[in-house]
Amino acid sequence: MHQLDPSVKIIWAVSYSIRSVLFTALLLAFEFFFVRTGKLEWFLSFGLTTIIFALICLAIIIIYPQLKYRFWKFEVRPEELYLERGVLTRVKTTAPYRRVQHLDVAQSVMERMMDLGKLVIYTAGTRGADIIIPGLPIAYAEMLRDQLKNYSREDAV
Amino acid sequence: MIENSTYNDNSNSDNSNNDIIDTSSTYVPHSYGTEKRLHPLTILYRAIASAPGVLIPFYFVYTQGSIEDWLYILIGVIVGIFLLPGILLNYVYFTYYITPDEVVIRSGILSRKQRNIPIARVQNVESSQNFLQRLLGLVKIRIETAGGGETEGLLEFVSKKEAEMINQIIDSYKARLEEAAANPMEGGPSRHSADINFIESNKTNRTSQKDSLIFSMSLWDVTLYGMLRLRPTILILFAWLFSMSQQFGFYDFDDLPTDDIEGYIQSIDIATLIAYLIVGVIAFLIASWLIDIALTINKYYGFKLSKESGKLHTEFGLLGKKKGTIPLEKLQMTVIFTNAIRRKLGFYGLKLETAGFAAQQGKVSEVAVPFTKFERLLRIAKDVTKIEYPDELINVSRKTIRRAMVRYVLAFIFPLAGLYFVTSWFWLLLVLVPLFYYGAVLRYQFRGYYITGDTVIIKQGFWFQRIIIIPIAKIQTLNIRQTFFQRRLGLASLIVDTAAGSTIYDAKIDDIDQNDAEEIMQRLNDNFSKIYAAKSELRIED
Repeated sequence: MHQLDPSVKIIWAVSYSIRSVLFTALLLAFEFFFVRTGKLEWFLSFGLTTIIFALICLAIIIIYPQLKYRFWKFEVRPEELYLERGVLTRVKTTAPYRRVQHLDVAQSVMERMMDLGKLVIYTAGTRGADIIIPGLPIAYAEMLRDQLKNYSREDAV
Repeated sequence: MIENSTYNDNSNSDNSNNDIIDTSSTYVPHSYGTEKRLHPLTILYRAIASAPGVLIPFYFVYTQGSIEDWLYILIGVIVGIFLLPGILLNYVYFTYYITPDEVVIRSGILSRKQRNIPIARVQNVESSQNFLQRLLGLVKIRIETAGGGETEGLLEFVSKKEAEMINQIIDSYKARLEEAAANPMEGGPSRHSADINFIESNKTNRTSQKDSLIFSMSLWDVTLYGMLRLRPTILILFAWLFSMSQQFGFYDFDDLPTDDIEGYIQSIDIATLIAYLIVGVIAFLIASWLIDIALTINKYYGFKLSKESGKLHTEFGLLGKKKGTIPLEKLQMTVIFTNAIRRKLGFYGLKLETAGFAAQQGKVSEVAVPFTKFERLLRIAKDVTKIEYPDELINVSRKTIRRAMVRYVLAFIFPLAGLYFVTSWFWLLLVLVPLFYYGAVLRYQFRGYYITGDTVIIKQGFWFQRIIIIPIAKIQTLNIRQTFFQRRLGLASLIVDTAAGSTIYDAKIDDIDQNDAEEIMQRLNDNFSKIYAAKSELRIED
C-alpha cells in the first residue's frame, strides 16, 4: 500500500488557508457593516465571531491535512487500482484497469512548484466516473499513467 | 470508390430478390449515396406544432380585445413571418445520406454543420410517432451512439419505409461486423470483405429476422396495470392545468371573497365542510386513478417484446407509437420493479438499462415487461439476460434498523418539535415512534443481496421495490463507503458502479457488515478478472 507524497499536506494546507482567509474576510466585512453598526443584534461583540471562526479555520488547516494524508492510501494491484480515502466518511474503491477510458496527469501551480501532480482516471461509470489520485511525484504519476495506458483493454461498455 | 462499385455490381442480384422484400426499393444499394431530404409533410407538421405560439396572441385579442392588444397581433404576425420561412429553410437545408459505414447528416442555414455517425458506433435506433405524426405517416428516428450527446443523430421526420430502410442498413452492417468478428480468419471487419458478404448476410438476416415474440399484453393486462400503478397523476395534471390557467387567464383569483374572508369562513358550517372535503378527496382519488388508467392504456396498448439475435424489440402505444431496441450486449443492469400493492398481488415489471451518458437520461432505460407475474417475469429475464436468481437473498445487517430508526426520528421529530410551542399535546407525537420502528423493520426486511458467479443482485425498497441485477462483467468500479456512524456500528455500504445511462437506480447494498463488504468486493474483483480471462482465452483458441 502506497501513501501519497508527504508534501501534498502543504498543498492541502495552502488551499484550505486560501479558502479560510477568504471566508474570514467575508465574515469580518459582514460584522463590520452589521454587528458593529448595531443593525443586527448578535450575542457576541464586534470581532469576536470572526476571531472564533478564524481559530476554527486554523485548527482545520493544521489538523485536517494530517488526517487526510494518513487515510489516503493506494495500491497498484495486478488487475485493478485500489484506493482508500476519507477522514469522516471512508471510501475504498477498486477500479479494474480494463475499465479505464482515458488518463490525465494534471498539475496546479502549487503542484508544479513542488514537482507533484495528480493522476486522473476516467471510467465510463455513472456515479464516481473519475478517480483522482493527488499528490504523486510527477515522474511517478507519469510512469503510472503510461503503465496503465499500455494495459490492453476493450473499449466496449 | 471501390466500395461504391461493389455495391452497384450487386444491385442487380439484390433486385432479383424482390419477392422476399415487401418494400422493394428500400434495399437497392445505390440509394445509399444519394443525399435525401426529410419527409415533405415534416413542413406541415412543424407548422402545426408551432401554431400555438403564433395563435396565442390572437387568442388574447379575441378574449380581451382592446386597441392596445393589436400589439399582440403584430407580434403574432412577426413570429409567423419568421417562423414559416424558417421551417421551410430548415427543411431545404437539412439533408442526410447513408454510406456503407456512416450516416451523414447536414444541417444549418447560415453555418453548415455536418455530422458523421459511424454505424459501427451506433448503439440503438429508436423510432417513435406521436398521434399527429402517425396520422401524417411521419416517423422520428433517433440514432444513439456511445459517444455522448454530440454524435447523436435525430431525423425528424422520415417516412415509415425510409425508417425501415435505415434500420435495415444499420442492422445488416452490425450483422456483418459480428460475422467478421466470428470469423477472424477473414481478417476482421475489413470493409472490403464485409461488402462481399453484404447481400448474403442481408438475405439471411431477413429470413432469420422473424422476431420471436417473448411477451405481449392484452388490453385487459394493460388496464389492470393502469389500475394498479397508483401514481398521483392528477396532481401532475393539476399542476400543469394550474400553470396553464394562470398563463391564459382562464381563472381569476380575484373572484375569491378576499374582503370578507372571515365572514365567509364563519358562514360555512363545519359538518358540511368536512362532508365536502371527504367527497372532494374521494372524487379526486377516483379521477386520478381513472386518468392513470387512461394514460397507461395510451402508453402501453398492444405491448410487444420480441427477441432477435442479440437484440430485443419493444413496440407499444395507442395514439402514439413507440418502437425501441435494446442491444443486449450493452446491457448494464436489469431492474425488476413493483410497488407495494402490485407486489401483494404478485405483479412485477422489468426494465433494462443500457450504456449511455448522463446527457441523455431516461433514453437508455427501456421497459421490457411493464407488468406480469413474478414467475413469468423471471423466466423472461433469465431467457433474455442469462441471469440466475436465487430462492432466497442474503439479508443486510440488522443494525440497519437502528440507523433507520435514528434517521426517521430525527427527520420527523425535529421539524415537529416546533409544535411544542403551539400545543401541549405535543407528547402525543411519541405515538409515532413505534410506527417508525415498524417502518425501519420493513425497510430491513425488504433489503437484500446475493452474489452469483456472474451477477450481483441488490434488492431495496418497500413502497417502490426494485431488484437490481448487474452482470459482474459490466462493473466499472466498486466502492465501499463508511460514514462516521456506520464505522461505529461496524457497517459499510457497497456501491457498484456501471455505465448505466440513467442514474435513478442506485446500485448500493446499504449497511452490511464491514468484513462482508470487503469480502464481497474481493470476490467481485476476482470474478471480474476470471470472466475476462476466460473471454480472452476463448479468443486465442479461435
